[in-house]
Amino acid sequence: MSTPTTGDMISDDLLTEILVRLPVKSLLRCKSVCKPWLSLISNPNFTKSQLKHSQSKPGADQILIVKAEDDYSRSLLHLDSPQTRTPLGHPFSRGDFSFDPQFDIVASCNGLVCVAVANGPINNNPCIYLWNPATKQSKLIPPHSLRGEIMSVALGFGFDPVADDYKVVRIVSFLSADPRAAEVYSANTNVWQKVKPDLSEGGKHYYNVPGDFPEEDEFDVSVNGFLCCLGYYGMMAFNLNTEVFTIGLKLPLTKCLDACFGDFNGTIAVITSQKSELNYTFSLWTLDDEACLHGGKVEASWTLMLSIDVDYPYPRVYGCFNSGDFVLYTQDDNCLLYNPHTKEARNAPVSISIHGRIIKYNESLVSVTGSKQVDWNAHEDNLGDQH
Amino acid sequence: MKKLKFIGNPLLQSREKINMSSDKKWLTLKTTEDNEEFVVEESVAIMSNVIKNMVEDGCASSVIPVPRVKGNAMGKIIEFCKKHTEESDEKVLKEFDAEFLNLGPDALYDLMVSANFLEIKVLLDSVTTKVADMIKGKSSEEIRNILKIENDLSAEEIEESRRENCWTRQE
Repeated sequence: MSTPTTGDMISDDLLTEILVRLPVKSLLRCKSVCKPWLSLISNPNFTKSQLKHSQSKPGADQILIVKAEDDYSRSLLHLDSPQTRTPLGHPFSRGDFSFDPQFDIVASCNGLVCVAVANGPINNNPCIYLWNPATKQSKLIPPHSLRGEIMSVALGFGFDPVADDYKVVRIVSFLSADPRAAEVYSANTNVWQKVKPDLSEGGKHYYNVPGDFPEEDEFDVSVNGFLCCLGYYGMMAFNLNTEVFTIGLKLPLTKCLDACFGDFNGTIAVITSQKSELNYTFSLWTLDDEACLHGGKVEASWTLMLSIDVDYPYPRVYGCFNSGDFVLYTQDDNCLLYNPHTKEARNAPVSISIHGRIIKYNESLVSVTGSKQVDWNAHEDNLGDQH
Repeated sequence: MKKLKFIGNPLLQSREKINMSSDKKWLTLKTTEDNEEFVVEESVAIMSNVIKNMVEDGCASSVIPVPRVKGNAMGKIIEFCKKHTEESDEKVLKEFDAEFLNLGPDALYDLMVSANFLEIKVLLDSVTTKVADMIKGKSSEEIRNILKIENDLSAEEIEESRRENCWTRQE
């Protein structure tokens, strides 16, 4: 943008300030305005600035990936206007499959969504996509190597801030008595590598097999370069940079019904569930120091931030927002947002939890090398010149 | 005779002359490009981080020189800062900002550059959001028209963009 009064071109800093406020769809269009804009928007530094702005806007952690009406595809929902949903799309084009495949979301991080498809386009094998729904760029990552008679698989996806890399981790336990194994895919190198050492540290054995295993099929969250989830022996963390597991980390309570991990204002947090005679207590704790996650001897310590007491029958908490609202599901599948400060609950759409998880999403321009454009409705584009 | 602009109640002008020990502190800002002077309350002026630092460091003498900002932009900036220090009702401020920023791209540009230079975050946020709203949802051609930008892209660059982003044309 230049002005006739000064004839100067707008500085990159100021142009960035304007453009970071645009939705990704507009940014892609802005690449066609002029060379300086194309150059600025294509620069990885701009991607970082846009992401930072996208994640720090008020209510940024209240944009969720939810089930669509057909319970099959996915949509985006803003909690502050829950009546409006926008379809998320698919990480593949319609022509890639001869049928409509179902997909599971492993996690969403920095605008990328990691998707697992049970019956993939190559020999019907399970496969994984790294997908940016906002730019419609998706990458089918190379096949993983750990195969055999598999009993359980757990997947995780997150961002390694040290190497500026996106990684997928796959933990497998086999039907035979072999120790558990894990492999990691790096977007930067585009290969899977086995993780050494494996999960058998600490001499712990779960089901007579050395090591621990995630209790759920996916890690709960990726925060500050760590994947976190609940294992049998306590919290399990995976350092995305060093690719080392730490198992058996102490939870804030010795006895709780359940625990799920999350990101509370940029800090690793856990929500614990306790039952007393008359009611349930859900508490949010933040991890005091990440030193315990580096596989050493430092114990995990937590600070209680928020707590709610409810007497609904058999409630479950699936997550919490930076605002402090807990996401509560009651026995008859009502979804409530419970505010610990006002002690008020308000209704929320039931679809915000997908299999007991809240998946937060912010759009970004982040791209993985080797991505290609995908569009489920691609065939509708070929309607002639659309200039 | 110096041209003095008093932003505020003209009655205060006379009080200024008679009684200098009022509770409010006043500063004089002088735009060095066109030598216009503005007398403002310190509480309003320090919405600019640059001026705030100067005042805190004790280097604000009787007249603070402000380079790079023209007189008419300075006047508008002071009007904005004054409203934002006086008013706390979010709704009222929002309405004020909408009316205040109802300007053409050139005036918005001047305001933006000045707000950036003077480090007035609230104003910079408002102006950049306004400009972003002006281009949101528009085609690249429309954006060029609004902001008076020349299309200097090569044929290949245009073609590549078209291929990558044809889906963005569907609203």
